[in-house]
Amino acid sequence: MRDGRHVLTSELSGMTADDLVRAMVGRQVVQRASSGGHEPGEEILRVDRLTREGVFTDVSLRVRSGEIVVLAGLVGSGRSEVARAIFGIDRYDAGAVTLAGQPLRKAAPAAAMAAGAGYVPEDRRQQGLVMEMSVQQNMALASLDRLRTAGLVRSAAERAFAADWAQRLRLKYGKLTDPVSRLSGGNQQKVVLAKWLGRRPSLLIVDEPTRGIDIATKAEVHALLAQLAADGVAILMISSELPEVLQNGDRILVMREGRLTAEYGHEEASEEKIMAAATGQTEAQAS
Amino acid sequence: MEPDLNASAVSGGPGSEVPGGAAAALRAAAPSALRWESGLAVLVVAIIIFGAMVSPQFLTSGNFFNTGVTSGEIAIMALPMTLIIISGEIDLSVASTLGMSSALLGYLWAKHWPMLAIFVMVALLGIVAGLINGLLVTRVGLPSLAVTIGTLALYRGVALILLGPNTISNFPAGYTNIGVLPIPHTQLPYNVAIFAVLAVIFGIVLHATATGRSIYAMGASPEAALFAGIRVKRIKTMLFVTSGLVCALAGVLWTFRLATAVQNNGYGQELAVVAVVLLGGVSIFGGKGSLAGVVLAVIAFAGLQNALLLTNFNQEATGIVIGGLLLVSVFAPNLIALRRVGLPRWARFRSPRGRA
Amino acid sequence: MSATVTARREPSGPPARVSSRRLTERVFRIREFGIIAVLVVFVAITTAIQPSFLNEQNIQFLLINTTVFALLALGETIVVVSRNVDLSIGSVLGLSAYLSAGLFGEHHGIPVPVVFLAGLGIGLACGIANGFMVAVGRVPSLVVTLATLYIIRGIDTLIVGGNEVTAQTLPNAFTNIAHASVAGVPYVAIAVAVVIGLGAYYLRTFRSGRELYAIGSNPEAARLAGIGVGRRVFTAFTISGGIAGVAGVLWAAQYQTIDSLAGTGYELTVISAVVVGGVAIFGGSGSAVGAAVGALLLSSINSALNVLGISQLWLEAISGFLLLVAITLDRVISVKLAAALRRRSSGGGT
Repeated sequence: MRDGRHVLTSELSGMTADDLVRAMVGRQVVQRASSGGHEPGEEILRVDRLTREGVFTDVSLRVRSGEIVVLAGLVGSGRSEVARAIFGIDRYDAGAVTLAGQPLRKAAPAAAMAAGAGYVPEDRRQQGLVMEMSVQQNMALASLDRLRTAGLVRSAAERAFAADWAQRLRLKYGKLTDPVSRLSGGNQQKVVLAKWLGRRPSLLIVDEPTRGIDIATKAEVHALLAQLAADGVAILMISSELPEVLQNGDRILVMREGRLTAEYGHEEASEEKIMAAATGQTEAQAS
Repeated sequence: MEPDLNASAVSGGPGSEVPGGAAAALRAAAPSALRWESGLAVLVVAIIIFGAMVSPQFLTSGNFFNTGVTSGEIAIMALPMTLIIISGEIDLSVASTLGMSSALLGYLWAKHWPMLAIFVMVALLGIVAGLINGLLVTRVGLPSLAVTIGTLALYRGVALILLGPNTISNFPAGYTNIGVLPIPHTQLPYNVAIFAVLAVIFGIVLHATATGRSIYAMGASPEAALFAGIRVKRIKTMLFVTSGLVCALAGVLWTFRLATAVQNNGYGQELAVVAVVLLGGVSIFGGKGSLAGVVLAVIAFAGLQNALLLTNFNQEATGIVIGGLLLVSVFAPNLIALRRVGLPRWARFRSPRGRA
Repeated sequence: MSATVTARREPSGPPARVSSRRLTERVFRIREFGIIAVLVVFVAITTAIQPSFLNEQNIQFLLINTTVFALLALGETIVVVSRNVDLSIGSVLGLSAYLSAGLFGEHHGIPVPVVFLAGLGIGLACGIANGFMVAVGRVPSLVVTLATLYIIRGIDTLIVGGNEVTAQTLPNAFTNIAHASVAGVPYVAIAVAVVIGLGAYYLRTFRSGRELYAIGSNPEAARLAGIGVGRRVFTAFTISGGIAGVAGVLWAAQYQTIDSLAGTGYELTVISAVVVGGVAIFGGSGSAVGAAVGALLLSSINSALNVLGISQLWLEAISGFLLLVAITLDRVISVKLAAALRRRSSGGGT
């Protein structure tokens, strides 16, 4: 069924996963070609030997404009911790982060935001959204400084901002003033994305962007990220879902127990290679 | 996990607004805040009627003046307290800061300092008092409940040390008149005027600025606020400093009103301030409440105390009424089925820097 | 193969974990004994300056003065450990003191134990009210006990009016309780020490006591683990109220003049003593013995100020300062401990 209508009855044999997905989503889910077909631009994010004792060690990576770099690995390998340290939510003990050519102060999310970074966190209910606030307020939360005149937030501007992004992201909602808790998981994730996209970031860090959301919205989010990359945004994605990793990553970095263990380009990557690097087994063992 | 199939469950296809749920949305989301303030407004009216019934003096301008004068300081202290509680913290040191600044005022006056210089020193004292609270809460990561219980004792102790058992009463009439005379050409006591001005300022900050929005966010969901780049520590520190400064002002007003500086000025009033704020519809858990509600609660509280005073009801026993109102103010939301479990944030620890 | 399997544990895991636990235990034990050490050092220094601090009369006086506070500290500990707070104990003490001591005036010849029972009863009634509202109403205890602090004090004021209970109406059998001693140690001190010992034993050993700690550590997890959170919290408040009631009778025996202001402001001093004594304000850890030592420490400071000729005015500031130092120290210790544990667990890892 889709959108309240019965669309297909079929025997399972002879159907591929793609057929099933297409029927559920209503359109072809396109596999992202490598680099989305364009050359990545200048370096936006550079991380040098980032270390936090007991959590991650000697992590170095680069993300260029227009690239999607995916951090893959098992749960607990330290990927979210690295991302949080880059953005400034957590501290780190050694190493450096450079954003858009300038060294980035540690443990200062406001500085990261000012330098053009955005962060879509892993746990959207606790970290990504203020559940009691409305859709509109959540979207505007990271952009309050741009929606005000003479210090006062203009609610008309806020409403217009939210309505604009709701439309762009094809958000399904009742009213913009509804509490965001009323939206489905996929739409909540869109609100979080809108919050950051509204700032026109040059670097977007997304942590498990499609966890717990429906297939149709998942496809929309992937298409959105691809479009952002095509527009020049540098994207650092963390994902534990191998199909998502393989589909979206221009480059795939694998972490295991706090260290980077492998890097693969889009063409050369495969499930077996990634799992091998993520678990420390040889490829033959991992398949 | 989310019931994500709901996303596609309604007519209209991708991209269109979903009008279907509007009626239900309106009913449920009709801000419980508005309901609270309406309830408060009704309470205020009821109290006014009650007051008028029990005493012919209640509705006189003289009485209004007296009420304003005696409740002014608590009202003023309730304003920064509102913001602090909404942000998820609490400040129990307010009355002690009041007492400490009153003591400093008396102490320096006895040493023949010029009044203007004294004002500066008292303001500085308030700022330092608030800064100590703020830094201990944000930098060391201590729960504000514990910290402000400690500073409550510490500041009261400082007041004791400064003045000892002495009382200073020889303040110039020009200042002590605020307790007796209204603002020229009006019936308004100075206390009430100051309260009104501050209420407007705090109201604008809370409800119309980015900082105010941030305060609600950090109270409702401290993690999400952090992840949205809100400078939680800076704002909370500023809130405590503001509270310290405002309480120092209240200390000055209290001293002049009573024309006496004595170490136990304001003793025990912190709980009354918290009670008034909670009565105003501010949730003890943070993230909810409005300044208008607190203003109404202040009026209700002052009116009630005054009405009881006029009936010669034992002043100490008005505590029963305050306590009762406080209980009502916390049980009522539960009846509107807003179940929350767990500890209010001001009683929890947070990591000293970022998240551990 | 699932992509979300958690990372394998390194073989060197288990040994590191055991010593981590030992490290944690060691740190907590240091904290608990620390307060005793502070007390000993403090007494030593004071006695060095003023030897009369440790004379028999002064010690007796000190112990007697501490009994009420130590009792209140026990009750408050039981509540605080479960992540709650009872602000009404001062008001309960005052009400109980007046009503129970007043019994002597109305019923001549009433036996002293009956009066204690009356005080207990009054305290229990208040505690039950608190416990009911907190446990059933699911309302934060700070607000509830703040309200009952006001209400009970108000009731007390209404009942007392302008009167007071004076020493003349109290029989000697009652007032002697405060002084009677054996071998220089007051009976009340011994009795209270025993009660505190029992209380600490209960908290440590009985399942219901340990469940209070669990509730304080993580109320949600406790609930999910099947602990009857509502019941335990209700019991904790009832006990706290009962203890405050008994403390009120004891207070009456000591001070012998009771008006409507008896016990005002005690709650915050007791909470300070409890936190200084190592009970975490957010619950989950600490001991009744530590809390009692905290109360003893604060009383000793009071007495020392007296003996050293320093104005009593410094007591409040010192106790507030001590509280801040105690919680800061606790915080720094726990942060360093967490970092050390983290470093330890990574030692064998990547």
